[in-house]
Formats: sequence, C-alpha cells, structure tokens
Amino acid sequence: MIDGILIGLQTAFTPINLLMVLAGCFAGTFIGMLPGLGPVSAIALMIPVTYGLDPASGLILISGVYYGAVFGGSTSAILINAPGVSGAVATAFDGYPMAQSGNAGKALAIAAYSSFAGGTIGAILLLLCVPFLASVSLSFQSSEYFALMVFGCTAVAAFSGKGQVLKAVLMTLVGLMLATVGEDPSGAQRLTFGNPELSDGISFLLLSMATFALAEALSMILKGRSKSNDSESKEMANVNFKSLKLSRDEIKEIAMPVGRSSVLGFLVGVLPGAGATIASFLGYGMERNLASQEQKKRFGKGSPIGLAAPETANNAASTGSFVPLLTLGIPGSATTAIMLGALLSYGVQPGPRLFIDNPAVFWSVIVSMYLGNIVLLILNLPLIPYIAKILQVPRQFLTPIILFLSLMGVYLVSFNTAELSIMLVIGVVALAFRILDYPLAPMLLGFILGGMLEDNLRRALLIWDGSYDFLWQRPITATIMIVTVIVLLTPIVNTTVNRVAATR
Amino acid sequence: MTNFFDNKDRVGAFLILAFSLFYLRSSLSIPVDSFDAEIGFTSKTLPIFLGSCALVISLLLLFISFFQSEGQSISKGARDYDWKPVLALILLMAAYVMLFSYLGFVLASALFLQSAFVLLGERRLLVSISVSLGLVLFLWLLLTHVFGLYLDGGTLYRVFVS
Repeated sequence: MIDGILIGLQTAFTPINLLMVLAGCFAGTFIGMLPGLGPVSAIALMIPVTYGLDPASGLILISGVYYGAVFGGSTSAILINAPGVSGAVATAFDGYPMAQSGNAGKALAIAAYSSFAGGTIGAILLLLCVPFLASVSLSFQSSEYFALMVFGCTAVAAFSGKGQVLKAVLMTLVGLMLATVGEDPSGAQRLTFGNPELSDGISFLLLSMATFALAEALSMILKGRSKSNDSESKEMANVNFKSLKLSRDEIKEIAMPVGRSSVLGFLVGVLPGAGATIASFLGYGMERNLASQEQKKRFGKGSPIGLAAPETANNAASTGSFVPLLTLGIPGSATTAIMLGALLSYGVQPGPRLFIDNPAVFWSVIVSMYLGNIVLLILNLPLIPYIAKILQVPRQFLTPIILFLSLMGVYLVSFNTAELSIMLVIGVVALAFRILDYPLAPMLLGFILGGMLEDNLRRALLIWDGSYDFLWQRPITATIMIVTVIVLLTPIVNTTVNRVAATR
Repeated sequence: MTNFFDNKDRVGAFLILAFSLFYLRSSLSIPVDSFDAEIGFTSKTLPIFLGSCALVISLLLLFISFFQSEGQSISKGARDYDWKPVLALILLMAAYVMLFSYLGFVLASALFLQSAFVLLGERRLLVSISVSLGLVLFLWLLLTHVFGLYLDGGTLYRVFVS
C-alpha cells in the first residue's frame, strides 16, 4: 500500500500535473459559480480537453475541476442563495444568512476549511478501509436504501423551528408529491396531464432555482431590500484576509461537528446512489439534533455549525463515492459515472482487481483527488475577498442579474422556454409560501429523495414478493427504521415534556 | 370571512389542502400496470399515500390554526411590503420567457435586464445599458464560443438574416 501511495505522489507532484490541478481548480470554481453548471457539467465540459493528455494528467485536471466546481456551487449558494447543485442546498441554509449578516468572507472560509477537512478525513478513511467498505456497500440492498431515504427525510426535523414541525412535514410531503410527476420507476407516465414538458418530471435545478434564487430575489424586493444601500452592501462585501481567520472559539465550536459529519458523509458516500446530497442533509440534520438549545436557535440564521456540517459531509461523501467506483466499478453518482467514463477511455477498468492488478493507477486517482482538495484551499482562500465583492454590486443591479442567471441556468440545461414558464409559476408559489412562513427547504429535501425512495421501495417489494416484511426482517433495514422513528419522535417528546414542565 | 384568511398558517394549510385534493383526485386516475398490481405496488400507490398524508396534515394544521391564541396576521406584515415592483418584475419575467424564442437570447436578455434595472430604480442609462449589454454579450461569447453551446438567435434574427 505504501509503495502505491508513493507512486501516486510521484505522479501527482510533477510540474505539469501541478499546473493541471491549478488550472482545473480555477476553471472549476468559475464554472461551478454559474447556476446550472455544477460539477457534472464542469467535468463533462473538460473531458474533450483531457483527450490529448496522458491518463494521470487528465485525471488530475478532472479532479481539480471537480473540487473547484463543488466549491463554486457552495460560493453561489452562500453569496446569492442560488444552489445550482443539490449538494449545495443545505449549505445555503446557514451560509446565506451568514453572508447577509456581514460575514460573507467567514462563511466562504468556513465552507473552504470544512470541505478541506471533510476531504482529508474522507481520504484517511479511504486509505484505511477500502476493501472492508466495498464488501459492506455490497450488502446494502433496496430495502436498506429505502430505509436510508426515509431516514434522510427525518432531516426535516432540522428545519422545524418552534411550532414548525407540522409545517416542515407537510412541505416534505409536497416535495415528495412533486417528485412523483413524470415517469414512474416502471416507466409509465403519471400526473403529466398530457403535457410533454412534464413527461421527464420537474427538474431539480428548476425547483431549486425557483424556490431559492428566484423566490429570494423577489422576496428581497418585496421587503424593500432591493434599493441600493451602499454602506450596507459595502459592509457585507468588506472581506479582508483577517476576517477569514476563525477564532479559537469558532474552531472549537465546529471541530466536533466537522469530525462527525466527515465520518457520516464518508459512510453515506460509500453507498452507491446515496451520494453527497443526502449526506449534506443528514449532516445538517444530525448536527441540529445534537446541538445545544442555544446553538439550535442559531440554525437557519447563520450558524457556523449549520454551514460546516453539510459542507464537510458533502465533501467526505464525494471522497467516499470513490470506494464503489474504484473497488467495484460501480459509479455511485453522476459525477463518478463521468469519472468512470474517463477512466475507461484511458483503458483503466475499475473493479475489484484494480486495487491488486494496478495499484499505481488506483493510488494516482486517490492522490490526485486529494491534491485537488489541497490546491483548492490554497488557491481559493486568497480569492475569497475578491469573490465576496459580488455582494458590493448595487442591489438594483444584483437582483435582476440573479433572476437572469437563474432563468439562464435552467434554460441551459433543457434549452426549453416551457421550463422557464414552469419555473416562474413555481417561483411565485414559493414566494407566497415564503410570505406565509412555510419552510421551503423540506420541500426540496422531499423532492430530492422522492424518486430514490419510490424506486427502492418498489424494488424491495419486487424482491420480497410484495411483502413489507423486509422492514423488520432485514437487520440493517430494521435498525435504520428504528433510528428514524426515534429521531422523529424526539422533538415531539421534548416539546411535550417542556410543556408539561412549563404548566407545573 | 376577512379574518378567516388573515392567518399565515391557515392560508398555507388551506392552499396545500386544495393542492392535496387535486393531487389525490389525479392520483386515483393513474393507469395501473397488471404486473405492478401483483406486487401490490403500482404507479399510484405512493401518490395516493402521499396525497392522503398531506390531506390529513393540512387539515390538522387548519384545525390547530383556529386554536392559536395569536394568529400570525398576513395583513399586518403585508402593509410594509413593496408589492408593485414585485408584480412588475413577475410580469417582466413572463414577457421575457414569452419573447425569448422570438427575440433570441441576446436581445431578449439585454432588454429584460435593462428593464429590470430601470424598474428597480437605476436612472443612469449609460451605466445600465453597458451592464445589461456587456453581461449578456460576455455570457453569449462564453457559452457559444468557449463552451460550444448553441443559443437561439430568435425568429426575428432569422427573418432579418434570410
């Protein structure tokens, strides 16, 4: 193993490959900041460029682009509340309020440090337990995935402030309902009302841009915050290198959540199909559940933990998703599917034998992924003060530009103006629910998990001949379901106990 | 009646209740595959379950809203809202979407941005035109010439070219 790592290091640290990772991180950050162009599109755009390169350089360039695009996605989520990729949705919950309260630099820095920590811990776990995890991930069947998706929905508890539990559950249900529009897992059309634009269902990007970016921009105007307030804008964008430094208390506050979310994110990432999005939601939910009453109040209002946890889990899951790719040849996410394509085009066949037959390639990929992580931190930290200047753009310019980029982001994926009409309708409805104080994040959570939940439930029922016995007969499924019930009941029990205590 | 709708929770629950009823009604008419029926999980199983749950919870929320000691008043908050620019901007976006295929990416986007800047109070025409046209042209060049994406020139452009 040590020999393999050394070969990987030797390959990655040649001048040409260091240049590749630098260029990749820079290009990735820029592409990722544009709504609609996430890591998948960024890597896909780079593949033609890598054809002329040798395999190691190509993979290093791709890894740089990948990490850059992930960070770019978080940047737009934090600065303008426009999470262009599902993995960055949870980042916006606390990142955006933090930026709005004049801590844009700190929010971006926390995102960068947490991503780095998640990537580092993920890489260490990858080194230690690749063969073991590969066999564990194989033991996961549809029933376990179904249970995991149900558990993912319990992250809804994280968005339920005082008296908001029912509203959050209701909005999750709305998200799940929206996810059923279009083609069902058996391939049949449903709830499309004969509209061909709905036959593929509602796209995640459309829903995310409509509920977050569009509704947020309109809400800013509605509350009279669209008028340029130069001193306020300047204060928000006033980021210097000093402000990127975290205090000892802040480090202490996020250290444990970062550690926990790294492990959680990595383990979720190892499961094919689960991926970075569910990891980020679970990380956020777990930390909110574990937080003290004092810290809990800050969630959704710019809590450093609320920002660090999903960012860490997201990145650790990205590292974890390389376990099934490299050891089983199974791409667990869209990104790793493109990476698999790139590996195959270089004549590298990922699978159980890769670790034994071709350790140099195996470790080169891992080292290059990690190198992308390091370079991103070195490259982007100095850029944060400049990136944060976006907030200095006068509001009468920034708001229409956000609206325009959101509409463009959706259009660039489908090249269909009908989707823009749907987006506008959803945006207006989302604005109405925002005014009514109904949380929109649970809706997005339900929507993201809905498809996978139904798909796995259907498959589990097929395997179990239509019987629901798998819920208690498969130990892992039963354990996850029990934990789900406990997590869901805890806030209800707590509220009841507090009420009883208050009446006495 | 005015008071009935002057409560945020109640109006929200009412809207979702209406949506759930419509969704449930539509779910009941989803065609069922005979193979799926054998395993007891068809295309409409989950939609019906979700619709029913949403119906029950929205009714529950509606019920609770009548016992809230201090209802969250909509009218109180709405008094301070700046409705006019929001409605104008929504109409502007609708016009942008409708005119997109006719005017094409560059013209439609530049016009949308320029109008939105003016709508939100920007009075320096030279600055706003430079920003709207500059941003749109930069994006057009980036997307078409660097990323190789096709952006529709619009019917108007095609009429002039041919």
